Amino acid sequence: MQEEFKVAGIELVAISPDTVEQAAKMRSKLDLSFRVLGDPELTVIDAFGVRHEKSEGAMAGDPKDARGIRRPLAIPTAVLIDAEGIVRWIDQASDYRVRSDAPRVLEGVKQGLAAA
Amino acid sequence: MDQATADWIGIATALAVLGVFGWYFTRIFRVVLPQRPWYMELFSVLVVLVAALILWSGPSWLGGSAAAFSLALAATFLGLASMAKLPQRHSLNLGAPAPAFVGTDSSGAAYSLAEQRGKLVLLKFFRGHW
Repeated sequence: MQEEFKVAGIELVAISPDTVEQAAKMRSKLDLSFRVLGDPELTVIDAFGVRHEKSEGAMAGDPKDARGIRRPLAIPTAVLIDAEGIVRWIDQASDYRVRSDAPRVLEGVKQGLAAA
Repeated sequence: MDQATADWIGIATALAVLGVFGWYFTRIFRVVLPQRPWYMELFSVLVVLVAALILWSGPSWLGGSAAAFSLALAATFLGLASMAKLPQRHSLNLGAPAPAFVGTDSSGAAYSLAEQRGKLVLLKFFRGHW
């Protein structure tokens, strides 16, 4: 998947609500070659409005803080930003278990750019 | 259906449940499933039906516990699956500038969206806490 994006001239950047250290751990565990940003303060996540409040749709294994309240997650979302910094395509999964696969994302990217 | 047949179907169902769920969850944790696996829901519904039929037909304790085990696992899976829905929400507008931000990447380096002008960037928000 990472190679296919490179070929299409797209820089892939991931943002996770984890700390920078946790993000580094996840990056090496999942063997990701692209950049992964840690956003524990949810600054970027809130700027894009994709915070997922702890209670809604929480799964049994979701992490809780010291007071037993589930920590916020991000709604899995892909956002394509063009060379001028304009949002061209937004993709949100309707279900936790959906993964964006490369062909589907590349198709969406193509449509987003064609509509521009 | 006689008791021996019910027992065998019960045990076969339990083995199928173990095999299919084992396969599914190993793949989930390796993050290689590309899309919503509707077939898992279908499988779970079938298991619930078959197991209920076995239990109703009066199996021995062995076939009965195998069927009960299958039923419990499949029902739990269906319950979790129904909770897996995500909200569809963001504060972006297509065709409008993306919010500028400076983040920190996993190596501790700053990453500024504004500095990416001239490049196509695909931002992926991960759910987190994997």
